Amino acid sequence: TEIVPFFARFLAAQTTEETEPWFKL
Amino acid sequence: MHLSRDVVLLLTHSGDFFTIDRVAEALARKGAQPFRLDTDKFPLEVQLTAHLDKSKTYHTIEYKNYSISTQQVQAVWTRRIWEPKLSQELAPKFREACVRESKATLDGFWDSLKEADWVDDLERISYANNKLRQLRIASEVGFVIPQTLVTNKAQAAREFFLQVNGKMVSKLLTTLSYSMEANSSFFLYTSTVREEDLQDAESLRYCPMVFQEQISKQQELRVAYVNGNVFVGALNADMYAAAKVDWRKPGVEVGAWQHHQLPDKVVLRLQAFMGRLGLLFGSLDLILTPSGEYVFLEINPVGEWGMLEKDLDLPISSAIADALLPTNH
Repeated sequence: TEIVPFFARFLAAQTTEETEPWFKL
Repeated sequence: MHLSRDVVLLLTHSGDFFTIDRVAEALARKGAQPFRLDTDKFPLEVQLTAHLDKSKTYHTIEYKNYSISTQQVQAVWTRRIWEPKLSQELAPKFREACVRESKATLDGFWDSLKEADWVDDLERISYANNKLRQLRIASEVGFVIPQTLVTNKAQAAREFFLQVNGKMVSKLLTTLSYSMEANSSFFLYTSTVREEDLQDAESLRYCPMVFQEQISKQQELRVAYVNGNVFVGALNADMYAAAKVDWRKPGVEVGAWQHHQLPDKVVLRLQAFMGRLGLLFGSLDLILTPSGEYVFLEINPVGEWGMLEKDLDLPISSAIADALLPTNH
């Protein structure tokens, strides 16, 4: 934190599952 | 096959399930003819024609061997409108133009449905999607709202952190991006901001963020509002780890949805709020604080409610069907 925006640090802290489509039938 | 009965057009996408089916079933029970239009299937599988001349206009939709004229449509449910999905065989250099032209065609096509009842009108949805406007109007109708700062100024973020005694969360106004190929969004959940994070706050100059005071929670509420009626699900905040500031995250065990009765004065506030936005439907997020105060967080004009209907047997789909049928409002 390549130049990245401020929100990138919070995105990096998320898991891939969290970042990448809430019945969670 | 040609439909002859009064049609309710359901605007959604090919990955939608449960909620779309429930509303379609409710409409059929009430004597209407639901017609599901998966917007991402245009232009490859959905075919539209719009004829306009000085004496008349005539528009048709063909999808999955069904054909309707927009003159048959009495109401439209704006569940979700997704971007056109194009196949890989299309030359990449033309893809962007084809998507742009397809979107423009869809946008233009909705004009042929201007006589129908919409839940909700696209322009009203767009108006209501402004989250700063949401907070302003919520405050004006009497809701408590979190102290909020939206800025690209590092010093302002640092000062706000001190103002809220170091209990601060951050989020964005939008999803990060949309992938047409995977049909998925890249989503940044509400995150806690630590003091050390703010050492890097100068990078706000590249993109602003929303900062809010972190509200103490007794319960998180999801309210499905339909034409004056409220359907509420509650999650007990002590059921999930304090570090998880966003119950929507995958992997957060939230326990069971519970029924919750809103006080009359809160319902009146919601009705006033929705009246100001001109919306018949919305999914709203509220926090009930340990001291019993209801704090407004946000509204999604096309938000989710399926979990409330399924787990709590709340008749939301039936209420949406009622709102779509013009004799009911």
